[in-house]
Amino acid sequence: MVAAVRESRDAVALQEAAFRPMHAPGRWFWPLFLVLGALVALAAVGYGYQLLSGLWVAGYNDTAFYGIYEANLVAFIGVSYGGALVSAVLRLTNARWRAPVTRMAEGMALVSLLVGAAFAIIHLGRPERIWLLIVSPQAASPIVWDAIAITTYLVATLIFLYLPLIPDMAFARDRLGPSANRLQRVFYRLAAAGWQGTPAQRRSLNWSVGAMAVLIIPLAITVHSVLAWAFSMTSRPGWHSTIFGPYFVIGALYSGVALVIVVVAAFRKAYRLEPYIGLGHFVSLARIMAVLGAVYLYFTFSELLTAAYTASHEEASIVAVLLEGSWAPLFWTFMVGGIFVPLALSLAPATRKVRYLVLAGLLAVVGMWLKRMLITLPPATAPLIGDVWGTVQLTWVAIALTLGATAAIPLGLMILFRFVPILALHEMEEVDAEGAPESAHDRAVAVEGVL
Amino acid sequence: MNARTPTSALAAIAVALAFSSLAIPAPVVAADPPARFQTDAEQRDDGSWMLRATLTRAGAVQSQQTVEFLQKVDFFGERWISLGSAVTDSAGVAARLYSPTSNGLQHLVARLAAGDGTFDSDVFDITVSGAVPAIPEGEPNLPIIKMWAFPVGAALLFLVWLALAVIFFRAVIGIARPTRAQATGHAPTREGQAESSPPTRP
Repeated sequence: MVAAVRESRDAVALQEAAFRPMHAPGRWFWPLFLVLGALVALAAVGYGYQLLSGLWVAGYNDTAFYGIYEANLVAFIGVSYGGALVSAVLRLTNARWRAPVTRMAEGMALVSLLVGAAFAIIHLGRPERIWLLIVSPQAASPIVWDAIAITTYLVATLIFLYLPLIPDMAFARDRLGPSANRLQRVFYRLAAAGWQGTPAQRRSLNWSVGAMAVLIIPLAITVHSVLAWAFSMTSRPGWHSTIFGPYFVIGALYSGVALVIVVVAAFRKAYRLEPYIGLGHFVSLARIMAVLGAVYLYFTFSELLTAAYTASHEEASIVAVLLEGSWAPLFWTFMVGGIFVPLALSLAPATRKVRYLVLAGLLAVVGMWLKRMLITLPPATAPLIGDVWGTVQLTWVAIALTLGATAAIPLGLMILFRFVPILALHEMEEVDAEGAPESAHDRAVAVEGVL
Repeated sequence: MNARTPTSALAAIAVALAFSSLAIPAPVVAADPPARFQTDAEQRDDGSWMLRATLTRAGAVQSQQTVEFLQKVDFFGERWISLGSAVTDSAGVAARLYSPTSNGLQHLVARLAAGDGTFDSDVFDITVSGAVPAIPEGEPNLPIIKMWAFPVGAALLFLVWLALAVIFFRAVIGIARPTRAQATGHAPTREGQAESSPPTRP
């Protein structure tokens, strides 16, 4: 009897925590919303100016045809794949500690994908011509396949976020108080899709969520490979590489897991979710991140070694500017700050604390953004005629759009969790039910950080 | 006293203006005469070209001057691409090796920055033959692959979208079906028991 009462009290506390962003967003919510919104608005102004003036205002010129936008495109779409794949892999491996973090990972995947996809349009000098991709596509063009891949993946991410949400939306529908307006009632009723929690409904939903988790893994790998091939099929030194597909995929996973750590930590702190998301979650995520970081380090070494050893003039010049030339400060900053330090912080027992693991995630995210700049800019500015390197100018428009896009991710998540529960309630209950004897222990272990 | 001050100030200005009209004009510094180029280009055995520009100014050779060589190209409109630069020697000659990547008539220019944002320049042409392409074309002869690549890719894409649709609608229809069945009083049974449909949560 006492245990049942305690369990009921735990369930109520969990429900309150999951709906906290919807009911009590906190005093910091609106000031932060305004700051992030202002950055997004500044980016919109910058983009308007770019539309009126041309791409040169973003630092593009004859000698630098790719720039910061392409780096942003790869970086933001990359973290999206990371978020979705983390959620899918943890579901398929039935990692029971996943439940409190999957919603945030899936939400992050959707929001960052929308931001990344926006750069696919922003980096076009004549965005209205995107219409031509639809009305007269060229099958041999990587850009066409890029657009198809991103669109397909966007739909898949939406479904992957929505399906596990259905029972939670039904719960929200049933919890709507008398003060709820008609729009809210309609929204939650439609989103709940008639969910009553019957065994048949559960079977149906579990099959679809499982199938989606299986499908989204090859889909994410394929889609990010297509993005990588848009670079590697250009026959340009520095890009023309056979390992670019897996190289991009691993980079996406590494930065994606890193951003999941940062996002989970931020929302855990903001909405006081410490009873459900503990040190153990961060340690587990950091270990996954460390493995991916080590693989990415191996790919980077392999890429540079083969390019340097063949010693063709064009490839050698790219390696030279990266390791000892004008891009060397950025490259070594990435190597140390984006790989070695996050690996050390993730694996060293002395730094097994949330703040150090979040620092590791933050460094990995920023480091991987630098790496995307290093992948994009040196080859784009390398001369094919003569030996004069192009120059990239970091203009206020490019900086404003990059900052605005970065701000759009937390802003989008803050808005998303005003409408959907931040914790996957149904999944947490199912995980508890599956492993009832161990669930309390597992949760305690995860929160305490032994896991 | 106060009333006289403006009057004296006006007088001072008038005197100053009178003197300024008599002032001797400042000497005009003669601008540098424009640099003259004598350009030539010579093809070497390996197919590359040695571009030379001899720089003189008012008949005197100009050493230690950086001359830039450019090529006129048509790439999203006419523009000049830098081929690199060379510093003139004691004879005023700037020499630059150029490896063309395409054949035919090419318009080149040698130029020197005049210091005021303008350039002294000379345009000259070369006719290239036997150029080595920067990226030699070597398209593999794969007629069967080429024939099937697009249909297979399109079919795979269709299958992915079909799988997405099946997954989504199976979930939505599977969830909606019990609700409809209950509404008509025919609740599906499982393992011989009538399914109840209480909300899963309080």
